Amino acid sequence: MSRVLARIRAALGVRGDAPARRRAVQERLRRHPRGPLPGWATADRETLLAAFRARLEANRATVARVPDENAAVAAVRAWLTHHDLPLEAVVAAGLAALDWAPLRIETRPPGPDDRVGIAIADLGIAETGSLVFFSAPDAPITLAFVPETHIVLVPAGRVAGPMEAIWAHQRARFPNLPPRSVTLVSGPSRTADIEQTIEFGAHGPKRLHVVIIEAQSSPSVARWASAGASAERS
Amino acid sequence: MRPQSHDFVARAAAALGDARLQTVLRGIDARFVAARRRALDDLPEYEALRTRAAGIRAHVLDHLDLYLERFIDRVEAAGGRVHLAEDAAAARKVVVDLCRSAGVRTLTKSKSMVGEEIAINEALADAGITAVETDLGEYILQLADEPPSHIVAPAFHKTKEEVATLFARFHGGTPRREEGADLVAEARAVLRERYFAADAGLTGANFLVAETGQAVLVTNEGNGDLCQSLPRLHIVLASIEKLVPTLEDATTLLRLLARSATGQEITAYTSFSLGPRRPGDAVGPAAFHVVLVDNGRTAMLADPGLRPLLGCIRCGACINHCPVYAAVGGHAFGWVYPGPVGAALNPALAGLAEAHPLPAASTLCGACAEVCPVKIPLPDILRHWREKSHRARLSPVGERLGVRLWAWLARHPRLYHPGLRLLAAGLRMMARGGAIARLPLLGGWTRRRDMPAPEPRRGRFRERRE
Repeated sequence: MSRVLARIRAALGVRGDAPARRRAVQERLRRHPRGPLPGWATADRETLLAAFRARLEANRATVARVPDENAAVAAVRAWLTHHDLPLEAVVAAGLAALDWAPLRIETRPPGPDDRVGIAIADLGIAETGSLVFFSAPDAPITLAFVPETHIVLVPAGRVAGPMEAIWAHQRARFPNLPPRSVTLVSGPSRTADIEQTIEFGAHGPKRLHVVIIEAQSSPSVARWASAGASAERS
Repeated sequence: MRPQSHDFVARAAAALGDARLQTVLRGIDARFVAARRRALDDLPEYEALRTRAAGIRAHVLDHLDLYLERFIDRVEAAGGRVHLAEDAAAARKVVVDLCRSAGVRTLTKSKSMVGEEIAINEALADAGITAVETDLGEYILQLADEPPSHIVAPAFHKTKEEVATLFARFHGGTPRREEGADLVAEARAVLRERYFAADAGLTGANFLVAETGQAVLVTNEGNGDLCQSLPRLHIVLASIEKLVPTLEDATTLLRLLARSATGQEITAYTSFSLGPRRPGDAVGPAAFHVVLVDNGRTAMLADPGLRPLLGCIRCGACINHCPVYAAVGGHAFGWVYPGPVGAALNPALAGLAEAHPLPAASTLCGACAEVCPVKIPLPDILRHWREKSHRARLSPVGERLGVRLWAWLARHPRLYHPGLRLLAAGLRMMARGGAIARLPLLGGWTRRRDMPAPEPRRGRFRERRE
């Protein structure tokens, strides 16, 4: 046993093998009880979506709501043009099948010269206006941090109320080993380190644009739909 | 950083006379106090969450050995390694050795208070490794060669002009910029190259989840995530009490952390990291190490009076609401942790002989305990240290004699009450317009404010007796 562990046990006046203590710990890990939840977090769908959008905007993201994937692609192109941004983006592999032209896309981890990154959120959290990303080979987490513009598509069916939905989802989808990173993005990068004045784009994205997709049926979205439903049920 | 807490009185006096610092300190209310108030007004569940959070912290400390074992097991199952370091020197050695054996030449670093505590930057520099602070505030302070003055906003004390001067001096060749947005953009451009060039990333952790082995990190800038996803080695440096049992427990604490710190519901980025990159991953570190530091924590764990202090989640609310901090700022406290949490922690971590002036510099007004999201009884801990200072004869001679005299009087009521009446009468004679401008022996107190004259005889003293 390590000396630090021995010192902890000496400090607590315990031995490691007391069954009552082990049981208390095992029980807590097994049941992982929730703390108090914000009251509205169990509201109906439409209220949740409205709250999700409102919190995202409060977090200084911009939000669009579109009927399906094709409309999402069109909305992204229009938004880039409107903001005078290049029609070039690094995208998550799951999005490569969509017809982005004339927007040029590449599926690879972004480098320092890439200006626009497009990703799909695994979950949206209405409580905090957060987009949740589980890292995976086809979804490098650096998409959320390297390009100065971060665009995120999120199927409406993936929006849940409280943060606890993330853990239900993680336990269901990765029962043995959680992903290398689970990341909540709640607005663009910001800092108040110079005279307490908020500036955006400190290291990560200057802008965060979120496109909520209503339809559940389109092929790219389908992969996530079942997991979203399980997160909602729990 | 060598502790300077023993010099608190002189440092506080200098801070009180520093007009520029005083202007900066007046910004605390708008930036932190008002923002926290607004956030809590929107959270009717706050008190319930706070009670829950205090319970989580007490539970995890009572079972710290078992949660630590579980955490180590989970990290290793994910291909990472956990290193336990007994003290600052051991922790520095682990980090330096990890960097050396991986051939690290430059390292990007996300803000870590434990890193400040164990002086990791100096150790890395001695080993020939360039450590670059990436939190904008810490980066500014690294250029200025100054310690942080606040645990959440480390460069709170720097003005825009000072930052502009530093950047003009160190970012060779760029024209001097004055606007905040331009300064942020300039730092962004400089640090961006550093992230991609770094061999290793060093981050702190806000929580360590025993259930899964995930290390939780919150930032607003996103610098921590760049530090932990781009370089080939990721080292998490944290102290042993950062453990929480489950993801739900971490979530409860997250609901309180940002609100208490900056009045945000949540920070811009919250990440849960576990192990090195997985098969097929295109990004992420090839190696993942967690260095857990004791450095005095187990001694605090053994002391029932100090154990609750290990529940601290480093939100800084006690600092933002402390009238002493508001008057003198962070540097007067002379070490890593300022304000009430510093006055309570520094004697345990840097030694009472070094830090005894800090717990003495408090009115025990209780604002810190009132705003603490995990209900740490900070005034009780300050009193605990005062008693120890008194017994160890660390407090000033005059103070000790005064306390002894008072204690003797208090045990002799026949002398105590007439004595107090005499004292009150004397004070009233010295008063002009209800206030006493100067007190013999207590000149330090009356130099900056008046002492209110005691109420007449039929007032408070008499009522208390009856």
